[in-house]
Amino acid sequence: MCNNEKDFERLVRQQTSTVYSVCYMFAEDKVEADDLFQEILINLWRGFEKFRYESRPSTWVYRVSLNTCISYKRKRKISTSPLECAGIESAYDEIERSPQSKLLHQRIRLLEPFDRAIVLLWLEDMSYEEIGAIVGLSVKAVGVRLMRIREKLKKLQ
Amino acid sequence: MEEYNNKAELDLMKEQMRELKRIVAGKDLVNNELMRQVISYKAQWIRRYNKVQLFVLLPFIYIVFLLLTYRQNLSWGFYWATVFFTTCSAVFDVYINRMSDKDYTSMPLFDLMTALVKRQKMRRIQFAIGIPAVALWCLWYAMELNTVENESLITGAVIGAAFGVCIGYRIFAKAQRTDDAAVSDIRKMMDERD
Repeated sequence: MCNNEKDFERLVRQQTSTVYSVCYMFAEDKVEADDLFQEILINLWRGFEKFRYESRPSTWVYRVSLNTCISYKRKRKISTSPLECAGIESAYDEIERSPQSKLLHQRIRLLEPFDRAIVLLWLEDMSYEEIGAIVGLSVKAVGVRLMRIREKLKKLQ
Repeated sequence: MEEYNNKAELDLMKEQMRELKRIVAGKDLVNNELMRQVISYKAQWIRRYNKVQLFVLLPFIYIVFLLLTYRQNLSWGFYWATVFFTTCSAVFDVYINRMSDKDYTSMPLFDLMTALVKRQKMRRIQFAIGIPAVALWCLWYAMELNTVENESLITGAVIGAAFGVCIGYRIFAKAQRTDDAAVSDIRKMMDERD
């Protein structure tokens, strides 16, 4: 379908809050959140040529974002050099000032990266089928995993 | 009761998530400069190729042909011509592809587009000069090897030359495509501005 910068920019602008929310949940601090955000944008751009709109754009963006964050947590390394952009705001400080968001961050960061991804999708009101399609699990496995995560969150409180 | 607690907990978490997304949505996280930087990553392979060519391929060619000159008794004229030809080609490549990440983000869009179009033109000129030069070099090489009377070496050289030309053409075509895409993206950005 579309394969150019204009469409890409539109898609990114539509999905910015999704991408940054994922970064925030996986990051330990502001620098890490911003680095992850840029890394995800680069990965989205790299994959955009091959994206055929067979799945919903939000599903694809989630998949790329979560894969980038999970692989970052595994490797603890950003493969691309950080972009130096003047005039870009960081939402991190403002999120940190919100007690609601901070509380959610504190709870979710107790989980393993893969479980974090599942919880984030679940909080987006996605169906088990959609979650399964993004993280590569069967519907049944998603249900079981979510049940375990809920138990874990309860115990960790 | 426990089910109720679970539900309330879930609702609370979802509310927290909505709050988080509301904050992020109010921020300008993506601007034109960031988008240009992200796009410039597409051309990153050209800069990598430049480095590989200068620091790996070129020294490799110098050493291999030096060894061949000693072992197969090739003429020194041929060796220095090879060194000269490959060095010129590599230096010209670096000159053509000298655009940096910073140029992509700081140059005015029209200048950037003009530079990319110029780069494509120079690459075409380089290719037009390079192909006859490679043909002449191959001929000279065949003549040098002919005096050695080593059939397998001649066959190897012919296969190697054909392979090299194919790879060269593929790199040329890919570089042109990358710049074509960038020029088309910039045109769209400029149209949008107008």
